[in-house]
Order: sequence, then structure tokens, then C-alpha cells
Amino acid sequence: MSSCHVPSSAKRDDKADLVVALAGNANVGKSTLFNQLTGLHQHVGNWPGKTVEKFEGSLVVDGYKIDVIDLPGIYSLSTFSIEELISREHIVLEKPDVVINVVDASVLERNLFFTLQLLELQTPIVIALNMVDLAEDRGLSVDEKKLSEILGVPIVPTIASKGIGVYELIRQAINVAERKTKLRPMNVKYGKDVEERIEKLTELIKNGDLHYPPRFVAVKLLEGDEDIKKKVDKKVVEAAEKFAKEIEEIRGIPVPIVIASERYAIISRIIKESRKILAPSKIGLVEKVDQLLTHKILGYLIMTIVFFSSFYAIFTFGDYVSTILSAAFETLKPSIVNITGEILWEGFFGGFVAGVTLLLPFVLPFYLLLSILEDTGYLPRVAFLLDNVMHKVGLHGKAIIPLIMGYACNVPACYACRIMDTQRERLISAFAVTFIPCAARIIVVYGLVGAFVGIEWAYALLLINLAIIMGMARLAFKVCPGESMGLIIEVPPLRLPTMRVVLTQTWNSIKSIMYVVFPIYIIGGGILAALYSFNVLQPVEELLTPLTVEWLGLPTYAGIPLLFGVVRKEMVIIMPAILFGTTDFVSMFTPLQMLTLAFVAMYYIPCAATFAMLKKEFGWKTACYITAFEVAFAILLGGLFYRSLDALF
Amino acid sequence: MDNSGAGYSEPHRHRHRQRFRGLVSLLELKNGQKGVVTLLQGNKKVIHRLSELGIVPNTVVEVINSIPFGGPVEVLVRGSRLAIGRDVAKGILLRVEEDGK
Repeated sequence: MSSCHVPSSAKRDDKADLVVALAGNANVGKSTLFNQLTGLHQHVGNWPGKTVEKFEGSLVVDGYKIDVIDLPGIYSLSTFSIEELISREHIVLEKPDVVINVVDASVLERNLFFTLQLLELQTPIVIALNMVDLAEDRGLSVDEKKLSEILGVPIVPTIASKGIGVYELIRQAINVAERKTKLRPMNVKYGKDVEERIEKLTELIKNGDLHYPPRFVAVKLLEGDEDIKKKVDKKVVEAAEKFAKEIEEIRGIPVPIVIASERYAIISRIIKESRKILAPSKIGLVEKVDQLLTHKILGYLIMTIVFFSSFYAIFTFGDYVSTILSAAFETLKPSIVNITGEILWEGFFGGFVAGVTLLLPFVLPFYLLLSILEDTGYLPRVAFLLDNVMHKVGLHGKAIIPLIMGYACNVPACYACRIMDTQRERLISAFAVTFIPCAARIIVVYGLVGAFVGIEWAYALLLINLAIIMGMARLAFKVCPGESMGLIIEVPPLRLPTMRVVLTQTWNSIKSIMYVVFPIYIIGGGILAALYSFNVLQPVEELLTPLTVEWLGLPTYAGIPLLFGVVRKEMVIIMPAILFGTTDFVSMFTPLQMLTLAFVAMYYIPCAATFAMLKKEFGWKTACYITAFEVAFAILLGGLFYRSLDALF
Repeated sequence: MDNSGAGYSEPHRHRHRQRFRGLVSLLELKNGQKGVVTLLQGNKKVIHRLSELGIVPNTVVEVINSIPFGGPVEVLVRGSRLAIGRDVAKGILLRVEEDGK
């Protein structure tokens, strides 16, 4: 979209594009605003770091077709994290016509820290002063006119979740893009000692061919920004290092802290003039609940209850609905004798029925509960509670967020590992995530073990799994080189889940399952039935017998479902259900075999989609290593598991 | 790696106790107690990140919650709530004034 240099009159005539980027701190409502603007359903949730990639949407307003980019939330324009680099490069290289800086009015100071850096980037901005309702509840009254005067930037108060102020915001954004605003952005000035050196450095840089404004580059060079260092002349870097040393000698603290301190000093002055602290109106109950949730004893008790009752609810609800649905489909079953009918009914329709009766009843409550947990802001609190536990395995509290998400599906969970601060921590968490039994694997565990061996065995498998995850993360921590950072996470305000948000998120997840996964069941089921009818699969099963029958003690026909399970884990039980035309697995497996099959299915390979995500995030080699390790691990442990239980029974 | 100079060595409990008399680490504050950030120690990147989040010298930090047995502390700083792990928190050194302010 390079139309930004076209004169404004020409723009209106051919309805040319404006590109608007949303930028700001994590968890300030950028994605919510994005959804309001574009009518899309970008993932939202009450924890910092959900959006780790930029998303695009568009809208037409007042005759303008506007492209909107939702950038990941960041606290600074340094390049410690992928998100920061994505956001910075987007703003500088793609040059959006205007950046909407979404600011949380209730945490104004820290949010303005980012705003000052945007000003230094000399990019045209409009501020969305979001969550003004929350700020008022906390007794914080922001004088947006005053703030706008000081910063020299148009400011629009918004409540993105309710759509308040959104239209005005976009109109202001158009104004800024069209250069119709009279405001002149404030210059960020540092102390004399720093300022002198910034100016000298700026002179040196000026001749260089950079996309960044020279002054911004000068500040970043003094801060020691590795990415910027690569972009400028070696001489300039040397000069910057010399200046940085001088500043450090004068101030006695490293330059990044000098710069941060000065920015915060500027912000304090701005805040003094533009914000009043009144008496908070709505504190009490929520704070009390919050204190309980992160209490050093009760917090853990509540957490255990929350997670245990979640699983209990999922199992109970799933079982109940699944039974009703199975019975309903049973009555539909016609008596077919010819082979084509067999393939059609048992295969294609069987795949559909298995999906409806096994997948939906369990997956639906999973996603619903996860959406609720995300929306309330409970996840960062769990990160707080479990920080020390995660330290034992070389991670820290933040990793708990992707791990919990992994229980619904490993794929977005691997992706969420981007919230970790270093590559090493990302890799260790993603590796641990692949051991988390996702909803699909839980279905296998429940469908086989919970339903036919005993629910206590299902829970036992899940508890053993927790120990294995810990062990595996610890192992990865030992093997994997690199650096680790400690826990530093913002704790967002606790709130009641919004029904609309929770339902939309759940529906989005379920929708993608219906469109993507159901066809796999139906086609997979059809193919399987056809192959069986023509005796094609028996040789494959025979080939697998040393593994399935000899080592794992499973029946011969367990081989094919395990192969299908590579695509989706729940295929491990959906395939036998199709073959035998029933979900009553007692006729197919002994209890011991059910336990072993469920155990193996939990670990034996990351499913195809997870593999693809691992490849995307860490490359082929890592994805293959992880896969190979898990295949070997599951086979080895599966055999030992079978033998030790065999001895017990 | 990444240890910056100028008194910013890897935090070492006993050593810094002697070197910075009168300062306490964030870990030593009780719930509800406030302190003024005076010195930051530890990994360069961690310090930089903390400073971006508003934990810079002369900032008032209040501990609002903490988890025993090596757990993190939760602090209120510049109107925002941050959970900070032990390893990080022990490098944040503060001056505590008499009346706890």
C-alpha cells in the first residue's frame, strides 16, 4: 500500500487506501478495537501477549477504504522480542499512513512510555485513550484535551469493548493521514549530557541511507540496540559506544536505564498536568476475589479446584451428551448388505457420526472453559502461582499460559510460546506443550479408559502425564543451550467474562473444527472402510505387529488407527469405532489394552498440525528431532507401561 | 554473559549486602511495604526490560503480594501491577524510608 504519498484529493476520487496500524502495550484492547473496526474475529483475551503476529483487516468509512493492521502488543520499541521487532519494522518499513496508539487510560504512565518512542519515530499518530471506564472506576480522570495539547497528538477517549469512540477515532485517524491536524507532535528531549551526544551522533548518521529517523537511530545506538547497530556504519557504532561510555561514567548507570528514567521523568510531568486522582469508585469485591485467587495458600486450593472441576465438568458433560447422541444415531442405522452400502454407511457416515458423538461433546466444553479462563484474566494469575514450580523445570511462570492452552489444542499453544522472552525458553515450552494431552487425546483417554476401565484410571493417566511433562521440560532445559530470563509479567485486571466474547471465541474454534476436521473424519472413514473391504490394510497391520502386538500387547487392528492418529489423535478411537460400527470398545480391547493404547496415543507423535506449527516456529530440524524423540519415547514407555501393569493385574 | 559493568554484576546475596548498606532487595519487603528503587542488578536485558516497565531509580515500588518457597512477588509500580520472579526481584535494590513510604 504505497498510495500514502498520493495527494489527498486524488485519494478520495478513486477511493484509495489508507493504511492504519494499531500499536501499543500488551493487553490494552488493540485486538478488541481491531475487531470493532473490521468486523473480524481476531483472537482476544485478558492476558498480555495473545497477538504475536500482525493481522490485517479492512473497513470502508466516509468513502475511504481503510486497511487496518493489528500489531502485537509491546512495551517498547527495542528489539528483545519477536513482537517488538515485528511492530517496529512494520511501522518503519511499511510506513502506515497513521498509527493508532492504543493506550490504557488506567495505566497511563507505562503506556505513554511507548507513545514517547512512537513520537521519536516521527510517525503520524492518533491516540485511542482506551478503557476510560476502567480508569474512572479506579478514580483516575484524564484530561484528554490537556494531554493532547502537551503531546501534540489528537486523542480520542474510547471504550473499545463497547464500540464507544471508535467512529470518532477513525475520523481523527483520517484527519492525521490527510495532514489536516494543526497539532505539532512534541519533541522528546533528554538531559543536557545525553542530548549533546544524541545530537552529535545524529549528525554522523544523517548522511546514511536509513529508513529510521536519524535521531531515533542515535538514541537506539546509545542504548546498544543490536538490530540498529547492524544497520549503520561501523564508525558510527564506535562513536556511539564511546558516547555511551561517557554517559555511563557521568550518570553511573547504564544508558538504557538513563534513557528510560528520563522518559519516565518526562511522563511524570505530563501526567501531573493532565491527570487527576479522584476517589476510586468500584473497588472492593473484585479486589477481594483477586486477593483470594493469588493467596499463598488459598490461591493454590482454588486453582486445584478450578482445574479439577473443569476436567470433571468436561468429562461429565461430554459423556452425557455423547451417550444421547450415540443412541440417536443408532436408531438411524439401516440394515445394509451390499459392499458399496457398507463403505458408504460405515465409512463416510461413520466418520461423521464418530465426529459428532466423540469430538463435539468433549471439545466444545473445552474451548468454552478456556475462553472463560482467558477472558477473566485468570491465566496470568496462575503464572504467578506456579512460577516457582516452573522454575524447577527451567522455565518460569509465563510458560504456564501456553501449557494450559495446550489442553484445548497444541497448535495455538505452540504458537503462544512466543510470549516467552528467549528462543531457548520458547523451544523448551513448545516441547513441553507437545506432551500436553490436548482435547483430542483427552477424548481417547476418556473414550477408552474413562468410560470402560474407570474414571480414576483416566485421572491417573493425566497425573502421570503431569509428571512426564515436568520431566521432559527439565530434560529439554538440560539439553538445550541458550539463555533464560526470569518472570516479568503484567497482571491484568480481573473481570467477569463477557458472554459475547466467550461465545464468539468458542464458536470460532468449533467452526474451524467442523470445516477442517469433519471432512478428514468423513473422507478418512470412507477410505478406511474401502481399504478394509478390499483387504488392503491387513499387510500393513501385519507389518506393525512386532510393535503393536509383541511389544505393546495390543490387538493387530490397533495398528491402523495409530497410523491415522498421526493426522489427528482422536482418530485412534474414531477409526476402531468406524470399523466396528460402535463406540462400545469393550468388544475390541481388554482393559489393559485400552490403558496401553490410550497411554501410547497420548505421547507417540505430535499430530500433523502440531508438527507443521513446530516447523514454522523452529524449523524442520527441530520439528523432526522432537517428533523422532516422541515416537521413540512413546514406544519405549508404552511397552514398559504395558509390562508393569500386566504384572500388577 | 550480558553482565553490564558499573556495579551491575550478577547479584550475589551476601556480597551486595555488604556493598550496599542500607539497601534491601525487593524480596525483603513485606506485603504493603514500599521502597524507592535505588539500584538494579543482574542480566543487562532483564534490567533494560524492568526499566522500560517503569522500574527505574527513584521510582516507588509497593509489594502487594508474594508467594513463599521461591515464588514470585507482585508489585505495584506507576499504576501497573507486575509479577516478578525471585531471580529478577533480588536484583532490585531499594531504599526503605522510616515510615514505610
